[in-house]
Amino acid sequence: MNKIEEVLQNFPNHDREYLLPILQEIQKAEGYISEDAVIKVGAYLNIPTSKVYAVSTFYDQFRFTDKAKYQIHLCNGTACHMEGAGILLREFEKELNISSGHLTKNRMFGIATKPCMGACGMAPVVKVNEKFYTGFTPDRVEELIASIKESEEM
Amino acid sequence: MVTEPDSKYLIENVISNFTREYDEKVQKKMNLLLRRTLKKPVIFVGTGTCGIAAGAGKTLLAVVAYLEKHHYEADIIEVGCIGLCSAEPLLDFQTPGKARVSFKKVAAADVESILDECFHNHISGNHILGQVRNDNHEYWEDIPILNDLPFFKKQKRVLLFDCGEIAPSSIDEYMAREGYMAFIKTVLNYPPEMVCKMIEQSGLKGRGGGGFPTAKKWNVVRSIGGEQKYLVCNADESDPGAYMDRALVEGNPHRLIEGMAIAAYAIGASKAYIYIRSDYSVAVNRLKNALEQAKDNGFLGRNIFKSGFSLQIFLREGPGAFVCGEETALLKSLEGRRGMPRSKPPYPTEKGLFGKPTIVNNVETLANVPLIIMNGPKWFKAIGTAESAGTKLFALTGDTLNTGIIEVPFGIGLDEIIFEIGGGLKDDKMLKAVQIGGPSGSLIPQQSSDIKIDYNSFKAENLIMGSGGLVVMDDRKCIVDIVKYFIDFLHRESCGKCIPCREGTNRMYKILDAITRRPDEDNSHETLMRFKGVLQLESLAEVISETSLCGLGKTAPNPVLSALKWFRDEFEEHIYERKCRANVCKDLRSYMISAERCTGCMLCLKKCPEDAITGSARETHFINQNKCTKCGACYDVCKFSAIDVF
Repeated sequence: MNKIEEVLQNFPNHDREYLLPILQEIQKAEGYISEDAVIKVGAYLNIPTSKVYAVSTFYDQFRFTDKAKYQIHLCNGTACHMEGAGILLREFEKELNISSGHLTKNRMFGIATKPCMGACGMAPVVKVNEKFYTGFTPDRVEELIASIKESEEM
Repeated sequence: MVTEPDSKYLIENVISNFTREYDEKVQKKMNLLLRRTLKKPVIFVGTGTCGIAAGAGKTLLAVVAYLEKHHYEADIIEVGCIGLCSAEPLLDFQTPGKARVSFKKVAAADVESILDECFHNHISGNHILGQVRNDNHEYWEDIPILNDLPFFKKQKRVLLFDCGEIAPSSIDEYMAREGYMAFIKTVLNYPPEMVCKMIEQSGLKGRGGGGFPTAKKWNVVRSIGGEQKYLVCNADESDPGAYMDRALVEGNPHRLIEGMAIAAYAIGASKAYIYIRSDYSVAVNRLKNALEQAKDNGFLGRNIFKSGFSLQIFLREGPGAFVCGEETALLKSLEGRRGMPRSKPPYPTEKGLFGKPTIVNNVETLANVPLIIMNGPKWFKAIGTAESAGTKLFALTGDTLNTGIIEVPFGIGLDEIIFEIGGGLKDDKMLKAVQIGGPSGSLIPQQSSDIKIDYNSFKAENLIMGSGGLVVMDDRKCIVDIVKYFIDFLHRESCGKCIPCREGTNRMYKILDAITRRPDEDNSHETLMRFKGVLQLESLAEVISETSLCGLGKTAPNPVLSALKWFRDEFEEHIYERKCRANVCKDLRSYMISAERCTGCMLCLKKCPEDAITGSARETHFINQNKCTKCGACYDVCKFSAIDVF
């Protein structure tokens, strides 16, 4: 039994109400929402596949490609914006040569902006996977990427 | 030997005792959970999201390691945030008989020296924030009382009272503070009409932004008989720069649950939902845990305390869409659909979740409910002003010295918040404007900063209170850029259902973007067109706010309109002079060195603060555009007018 079926088993009730919780669980288990998942969830809840896809693309949380090994999230709340989150983003994009919302070819890095993370007192905030970097400045970008690459090579 | 009471003991002896007078034996046991008496030292670490971001996780590990290394006996308690986010990570220490002391900015490396001093009863150093007022304890010498600090002094902490003090993971601590007593009292003694009456008398208004009287809504649903009804707690807080609800839930999740239970009882709902942003992982986990505990202790479930009232609360994680803060969109999302608003009426109170009567209330509104029941509507009405009763939470961010979550009584002046609670502006800068209420709120210029915070004063000035974002800006911030940022946010978050919002915000963004960029052709015609764009902004704003379906669209032009009203000269500067006085809109200009006129004197090279200019003596210099921050220093210093501005 694959992961999608395992998730579906935890939702014995076939109501549409559970569509979003199911998709969230699948993303947690698989890392993203695959084509297969959309079809299976549709069949399970008796909703057309197109509607499952329509709902899942509406929300920011759902990804349709696997995530990067190091996902760089830049907070784009008001406080972070004022402290230069936009300049930071450009710096990260330049350093990794990808634009926001995309992954590098080797799937090592991905950049995305996030709505306010709620740490405005320490803006601008950058989060790499679960690790926070506060009061981040553009001149630390190169160093951060290099240190991650280095730890990977080891 | 007095031992800590268990949940059963607390239910029987504390929260069922509505007289609130406890005999000595019970009080002694309560004191342990209230930490009035201690058996061993306690170390508190603030591990709200803001604390974790500042490094509280590492601080916590360092504390554990310290205790192991020195073989000291102490309890470590993870607490929520006291609100002073700019001082995180916070660590508190309390030893038997003495007052609790707070330390600020405690990085892992500072733990050893601070705890050394604590355990040797001699506290000094610059990490001290203050000590907690509690007359049962002996005070430390030369340490300020926490509540006397400017940040806390002007606040009225009713909702936040125990945030940072109580362990959010423990229902017992909440019960020792008479938590859930209001709920038990309500279901056993008060009929639902009476609960609604009490809320009405208190004057509680919805804190989500609209400011609609809570009891009015409740009464509509309560009077509908018979069928299934729902209560929904809107915790989908996604305004950039606002995180009051998150702090409240992380600090004390049980208060929200108790408030929901009372509200559900008052309107006759047997099922309730909490719709919380999935990004708030700490808050989600604490709520999950708290819901389990409430269920285990009989506060949720069937026939609660044999009252005949049953309630289930479900937790749903909102998958991230700003528009889901709008109630009809939120209900669609709960039903497993795209979160798009629909037109009202019918209001959710008639046709809400799954077509049934539904009340949607914000976290802060619901958290007020147990306090009103416990202390009476008169007590609540006495806080704040005649028209706006109670307190309001704000997320104070931006350029003030102190930033964080604050709770103030209605009627306080905005300047009091900025200059007393916020401690004034960083680096002695001048106040330029305050952005209140998030992307759909308004800009308040410096000259109006004496405005009082209450619903009436705001209405008179045509301002929107919003949910509680309060961003303070100094004169290094560009108004055009801020407005562009908000419109960009709204145009991305527009659900796309109605055209004025979807296309209108997009047009507004394009216009604003154009005036913060260097035009392709710089002639007078082009400038005129750009100016016309700004004129169009005003009429466009009117159309959007009049014809949009939901609150997002209706309020989307607010930042633009208030900025044009107060800061029109800055817009004009951007257009005619291509000048951003705060030097934020970097794309307005670019600097280049003319090969003909440059003599290679190296003056600009030396002056450039970014080392963006390269070249050797008597050779033409060159500006590296990637490094250039467009500060204009080279332009000012060049004696040969060799720097061209484009």
